[in-house]
Amino acid sequence: MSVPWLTLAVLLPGLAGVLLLRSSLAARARVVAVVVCSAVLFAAVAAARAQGTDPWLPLLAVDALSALLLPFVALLCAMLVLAAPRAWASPGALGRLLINESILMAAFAVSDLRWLGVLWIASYGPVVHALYTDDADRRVARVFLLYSGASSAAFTTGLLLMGPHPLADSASWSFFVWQDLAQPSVAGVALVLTAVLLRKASLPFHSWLPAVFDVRPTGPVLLLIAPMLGAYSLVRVALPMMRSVLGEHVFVLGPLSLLTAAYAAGLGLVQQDLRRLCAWLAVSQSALVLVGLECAQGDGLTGGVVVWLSAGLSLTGLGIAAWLIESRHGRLSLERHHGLYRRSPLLALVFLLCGLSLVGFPGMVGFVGGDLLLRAVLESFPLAGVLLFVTTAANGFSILRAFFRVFYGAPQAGGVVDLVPRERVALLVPLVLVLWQGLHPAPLVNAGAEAARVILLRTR
Amino acid sequence: MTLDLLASLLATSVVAAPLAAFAMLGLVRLFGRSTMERWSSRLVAAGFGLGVVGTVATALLLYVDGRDALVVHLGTWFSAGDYAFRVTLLLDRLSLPFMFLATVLCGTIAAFSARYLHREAGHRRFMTLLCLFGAGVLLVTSAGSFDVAYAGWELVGLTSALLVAFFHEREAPLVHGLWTFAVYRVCDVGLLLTAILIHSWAGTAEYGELLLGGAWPGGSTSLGATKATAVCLLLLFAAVGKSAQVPLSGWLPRAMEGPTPSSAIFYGALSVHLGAYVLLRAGPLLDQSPLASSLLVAVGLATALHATLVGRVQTDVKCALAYASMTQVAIIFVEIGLGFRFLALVHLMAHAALRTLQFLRAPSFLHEHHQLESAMGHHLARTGRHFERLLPERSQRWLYRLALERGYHDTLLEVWCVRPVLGVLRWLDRREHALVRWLGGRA
Amino acid sequence: MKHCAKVLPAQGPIGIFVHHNTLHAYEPLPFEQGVEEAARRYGAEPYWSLAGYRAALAQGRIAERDLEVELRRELGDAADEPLAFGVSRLELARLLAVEVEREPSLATFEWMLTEGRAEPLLWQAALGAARRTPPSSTADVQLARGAGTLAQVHPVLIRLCAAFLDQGVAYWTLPALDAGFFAATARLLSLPFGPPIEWLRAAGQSFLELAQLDSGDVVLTCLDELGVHEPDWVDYVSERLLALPGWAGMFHQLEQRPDRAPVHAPPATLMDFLAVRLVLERALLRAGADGSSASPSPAAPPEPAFTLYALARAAGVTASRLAALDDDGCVRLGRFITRFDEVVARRVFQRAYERRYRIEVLDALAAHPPFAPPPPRFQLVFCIDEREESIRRHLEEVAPDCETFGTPGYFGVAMYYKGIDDAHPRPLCPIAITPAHEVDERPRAGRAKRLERRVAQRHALGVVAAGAHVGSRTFLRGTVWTTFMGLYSAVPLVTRVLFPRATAALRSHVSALSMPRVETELALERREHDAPRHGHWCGFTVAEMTDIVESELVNIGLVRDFTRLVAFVGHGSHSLNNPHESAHDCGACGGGHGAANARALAQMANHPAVRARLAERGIAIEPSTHFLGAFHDSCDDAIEFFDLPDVPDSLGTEVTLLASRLDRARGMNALERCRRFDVPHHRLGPESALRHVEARAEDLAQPRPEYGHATNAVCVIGRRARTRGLFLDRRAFLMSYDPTTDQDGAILTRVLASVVPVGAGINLEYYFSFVDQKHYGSGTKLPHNITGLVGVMDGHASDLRTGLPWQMVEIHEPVRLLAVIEADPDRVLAAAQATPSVWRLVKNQWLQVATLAPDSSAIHLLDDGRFVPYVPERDELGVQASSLAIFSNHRGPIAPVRVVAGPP
Repeated sequence: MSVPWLTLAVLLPGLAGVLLLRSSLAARARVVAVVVCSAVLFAAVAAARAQGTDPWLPLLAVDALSALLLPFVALLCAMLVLAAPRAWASPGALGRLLINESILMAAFAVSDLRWLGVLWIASYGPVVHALYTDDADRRVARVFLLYSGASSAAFTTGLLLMGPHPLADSASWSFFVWQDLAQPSVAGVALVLTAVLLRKASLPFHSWLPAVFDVRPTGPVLLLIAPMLGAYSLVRVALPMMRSVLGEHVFVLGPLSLLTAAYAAGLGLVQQDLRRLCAWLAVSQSALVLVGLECAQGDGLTGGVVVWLSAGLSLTGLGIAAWLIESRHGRLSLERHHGLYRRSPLLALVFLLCGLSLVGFPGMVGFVGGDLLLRAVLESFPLAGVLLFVTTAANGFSILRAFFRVFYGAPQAGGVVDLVPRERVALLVPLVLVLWQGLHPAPLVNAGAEAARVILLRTR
Repeated sequence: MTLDLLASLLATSVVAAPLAAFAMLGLVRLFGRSTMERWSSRLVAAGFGLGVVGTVATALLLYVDGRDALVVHLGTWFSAGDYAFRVTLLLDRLSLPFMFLATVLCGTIAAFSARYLHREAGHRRFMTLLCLFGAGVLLVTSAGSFDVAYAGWELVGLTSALLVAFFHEREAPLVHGLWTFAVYRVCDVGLLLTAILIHSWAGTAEYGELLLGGAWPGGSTSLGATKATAVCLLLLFAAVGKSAQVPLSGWLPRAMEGPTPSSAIFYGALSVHLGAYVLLRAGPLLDQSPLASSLLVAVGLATALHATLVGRVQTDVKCALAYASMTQVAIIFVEIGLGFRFLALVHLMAHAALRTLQFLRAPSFLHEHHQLESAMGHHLARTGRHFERLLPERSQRWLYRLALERGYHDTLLEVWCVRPVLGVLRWLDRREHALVRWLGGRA
Repeated sequence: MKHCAKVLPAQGPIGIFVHHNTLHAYEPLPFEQGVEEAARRYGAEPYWSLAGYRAALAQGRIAERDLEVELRRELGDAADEPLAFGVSRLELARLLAVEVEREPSLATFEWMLTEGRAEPLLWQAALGAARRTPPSSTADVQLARGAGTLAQVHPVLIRLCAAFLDQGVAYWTLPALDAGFFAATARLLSLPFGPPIEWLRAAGQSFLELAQLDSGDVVLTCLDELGVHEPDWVDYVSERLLALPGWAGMFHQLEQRPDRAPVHAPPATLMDFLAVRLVLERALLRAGADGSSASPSPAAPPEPAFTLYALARAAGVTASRLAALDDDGCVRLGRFITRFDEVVARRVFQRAYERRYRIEVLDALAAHPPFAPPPPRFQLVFCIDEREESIRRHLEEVAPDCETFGTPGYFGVAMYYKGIDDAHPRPLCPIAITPAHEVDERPRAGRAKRLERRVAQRHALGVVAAGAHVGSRTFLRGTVWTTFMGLYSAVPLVTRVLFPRATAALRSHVSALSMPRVETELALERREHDAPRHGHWCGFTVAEMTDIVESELVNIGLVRDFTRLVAFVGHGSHSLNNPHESAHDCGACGGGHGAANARALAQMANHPAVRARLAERGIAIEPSTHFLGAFHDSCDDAIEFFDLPDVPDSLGTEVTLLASRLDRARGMNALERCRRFDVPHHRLGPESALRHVEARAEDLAQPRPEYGHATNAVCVIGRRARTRGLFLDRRAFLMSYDPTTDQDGAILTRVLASVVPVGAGINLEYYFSFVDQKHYGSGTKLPHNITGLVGVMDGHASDLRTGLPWQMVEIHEPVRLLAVIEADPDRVLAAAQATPSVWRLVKNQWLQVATLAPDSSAIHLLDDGRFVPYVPERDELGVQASSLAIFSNHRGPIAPVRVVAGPP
């Protein structure tokens, strides 16, 4: 890697974000943001192709796993910036989003795990800031602060308990050597696991996520859950230690996550609000990633990684679609039919397709991940695996129900308010990816298998 | 060898043609262009027409070559570690007739709908979904493994629900479409689990390797009796949902909300028979499991009795036909359970053709009734008198009521299953809200 | 109860579809008031949608001038006064009607504001101005009646109603059906071990308690318990009935006219229906259901700010000018917007729409020179039906020596008729008449044996068909039948769908070959002293026949100069895939075929004794004149002659000649009809057009075998000479009436009494089915599901759908019928006032009336009860060489044009 792609990908959005916050570019905020995000996406792809350590900042490095995640985060941010309704896209909001992107990119790129801890805390920052500055519900802000504080504390403490001396040099904190240098501390692993559960809104620490979705628009809030920093940190920090610390036969995450997935899917069935439904679907699908990660076998791990990306992509499409629907038609209750099909036909189509992909419909990317995962899980947890079927069945039903309620029914009067060109790009890109990867999944699965191999390699 | 290649190409084109038509319609729609009504229906009809030709040609080639079956390996879709999702098609004496039936019926219905849905707002939507449905049915029937069958199975389920809700500006079709989808979705788990279990037990889900020796309906399997029973029970569960058997039969009359051609092809002909089809496919497994076979017979019998009783009090044409359909599918189940596989296949195909025609004639029912009356020279004789002769008055009424309320199946499902589960979930949801309020303190 | 029943749709069993004014109950009110009140009551649409009118304006179906005239009329004298920003009321009203789009949702509007699709400054100004306008007094919220009210009882109630009214779809009929609906339901639902639904169990208990009472008392008990007081009874009960208007209406219809039940009349009473409904609802309410309307909340009334904003934008008013509007201006503007709301705009549009077509027709009639025909060789009497306008025109074009007349298609012969292939006699006359006579078709002398063979053969086929019909649905028989016979149905399945016409031809060919043909005649004559059978006279006496023939001939003005061959052409329609088939038949025959009536009248007029008596009354018919009955199928355009063996040999060539002319005319007619179907009609010739319409009639997949009465708009009562050679685009009912032979107006009174209610009924049914297909029409016919042989439901359990399906009316132009009567205004007024039902329609403007002077082209228009002279807009009329030249390459409606027929 001779060009400092990683440095670019990590620092560029941050700098642009700070500039935007200072409002010197207010008039052209979106143009700047789109240009920056495209550049970051390009840099991230380049870095992922090259892999290895960055020539400028040796702190930053890419391996097979982060090679998948960095472009994804960049893509997600680019789509969000592109799709954001004008009412939302103030320079401040865009700036925050770019800073958030910078933090996430950094978190997925740093090799020094102390920095991961710092970024873990920092990544909560933009949301806390948004919750407290906007006149959103203070109650939710407090709840979020509580959970994020707890998870930050648990994560950093766990990290310190396991790691070498806190002030040791960067090389000894690098994830490349973590499985050799870290101390097998039960408390440390337990704390990190707790932090991950908190971060990923897993049972029993899930309640904050629906609450935050409730008060924030469905788009930018995706950054909290879709990239799955929690799962990433698990892979980097706890997973290498876990088997040796907990023993071969103690499974915590898997069953708990299965339970989370099923529980969230169940609650999705009775949601009366589109935002909250999106929240529970996100919880349910992201929990599946943890299930795959704990299978600790090649297939399951591959499945986990593939679901990681497929759920992320589908959630991106679904979340953005929901965001655009809300921006046009206000918050939508699922208690009655809204009949928006005639007003927004393309939006309806995209919503349905992304939703179907999320729940693993054949021909879409979700099916591939789901299929791999199912098989692995049934071998690892045969009985608990039944929960997985409950999850897919219920989520599929929820998606179709939401689609019917929002788009079908006595048609709403008024002219067509469908996608404007910029939004069309923002939605069609994830959709095309979802379909293309669904029909031709081999590259994705191979990349996932490569990532899985790397993960296994670093496991003690 | 070239013969093999040719046959494989032909067979693949049967499935690929409707998929290609779907892809074209879908892409055009996705990029916001509108297609001419005439072109879209011609495209769909051409897709299925090609399917008919392909099926017949494949069958002829096999016949000329003197072979019972042809396995087409289309390659590996994706693989991870030692698991691979291989796409294989199996063409034999079971799948070819059914594929022929499916392509002919879908093609006929496409031609029918081109005129029937002319100027209807959802014309293209209907055509697109019909394509996808046809492709799904063809995937299930031509599938060489449970994996491929499952993919097709899902397509059929989704398109069914969307077509039941075709008239989406009224509320009833939406409610019933959703109910249909829920039943499908729950029962799909049966097939999915089958595919996965078979994989892990036998190392493959491909029929060719799983069901050894002998052309259909012969063959045997190396799976033990217990495992075969488990697999068969799961398949039965899947089939009960798809083929509207007791106790999940309630969706079939609800599915009559869609336009007549979709009722005809889905619920008169193809969709309801798919359950029977996978059971036929799994014949060797059923042979291993007397328990599953007898359960199959029992379900079939119970459904046949239920459907014939309920069907007799239906006062609208489409529901009467729906229950008549259910009765025959149930009898096909019984035939399969008893081992009369070949009879079941003939019965299935004959029934599909007959019922499709009857559904298509449903809007002409008044016309035909008048013709019938004038041919007979008097009002048609009142039917159903043997009920009145044989049964005491009170039980007659009770039975009538049972039949009128469709055996209370959906009511019981709703009262005993749906409502308690939703009740618990709603309670949990309220607790979630309460927790956040408590944690967050004052607003 | 009577009061309440009025609001229910008056449509009987669908097998005999009778067109009637959908809002018959509102006829005592003026049209506009009536439709608007009904719209409030049913939650329906009074007029076409604003978008529809705007499209019509864009396409020139409404001219700007029409709109302006009608706007001025609505606004009165102040139309030109500036209201605000120096813009006149007229201009503002025009903008409101034509351009202003009110965005119905605030959320969407906010999105448009931020996305730059709306002007924020103007919106701020509009908000400010709206705050200063007076609040609109009572937001006129439309109530969607009954839609969601206690809808949980509907599945149960619908199934019970369907079971009770079923005429033979179900194999097993409702036990104790003869005891009445309430009693049968009570016995059924009060049984133990029902479904585990609390409220239904409670209802069963109530039924057990109330079973002894008669349904009227049950209703009173329920009303009492529900706390409804006597003054509210009518409202409450009507509302409960309107929750399922189709089923309630069917109970009411079968109670009123049990003879119209297709098979057997169940003892239906509306009171029973209400009693069952109320008992079920009471149980549901007691079980804690929410009694309040759960229907989707009515759309919020458009904010004045939205309208202000859109109006300002349309008027090109800037934000600063809007903001600068003073308080007084705001109030004036606000009041104006409130008063000129959407309903008013649509009302004005409707008037303008009617005005445009009225002008087109009246100008054409005024400019069209009366036709001086050569002495005719043939005279043909058709139905007044507007579908016969085109075949008459084509016939006159291809054969100028044909003279045609129009008369209601039952030809004055009101009878029950039973053909040799019919199972039962059916009434063939307008619905208002109950016939006293029955006529049977019988084999001609020496053909009785053949008939017996035919009947036996048909019976045998019928037994097989019935066996297959029932058998394929049952358990054991069904298994055997489907297994062994099912595969054969694949052949008809494919051929009937892919090659409908060839399959039908083959079928009829086979049946013609195998089935003995029987020559028949009508058993028409009855001697004075014959006794009645089943309460009907079997046939007519010579005196009765003479009266019928006389009045028929006098009405149409055919009393002298008879040609050697005179044909009466009845009409009807046959088609598949069409539960509403009967709505395409002859309206004057009460939804039956007019074939037998035409045949009967011809036979009467040929009767020597009748002719002798006619001669005594001054109608001399030469012995050489022969009357011939014929039938025109308006769906496949087939024409058939009756009683050809009775034609004298000397007229043989005449009949052949007439047949060949009709053949050419029907080909052209088919071609003209094809222009309305979505086929490349300009590439068709008469032959291929005929093939096309024949295929339509036999096509299982064809939801539009024909368009029926769609596009009907005008009714001309007068001599054919006034309209002959005028292209009226199949939109005109043409009634022959000769004012010169009508001395005292008695004929006109008779003609109006028979034509106006039928014509207006058809016209208004199409109007309402078109403007609101949800409430008045029956929507798209694709999900229609025939229920109990009495009606159609949407899907598997809905209300019975009444009115016409969308596929029948989609090309209709909703205008009120314009009756143009060739007579003096005074005489028309007197004739209309003579019949109360006609006068009510005329006075309240449920149709428009104009007169055409018999001796000049002067036209008077009825306006507010007085005839005022009409001044034509243009005095020239387009001329074309043939109808073909006019309609080829046109799909839409065509204004009247004069046809100067070339050489035949």
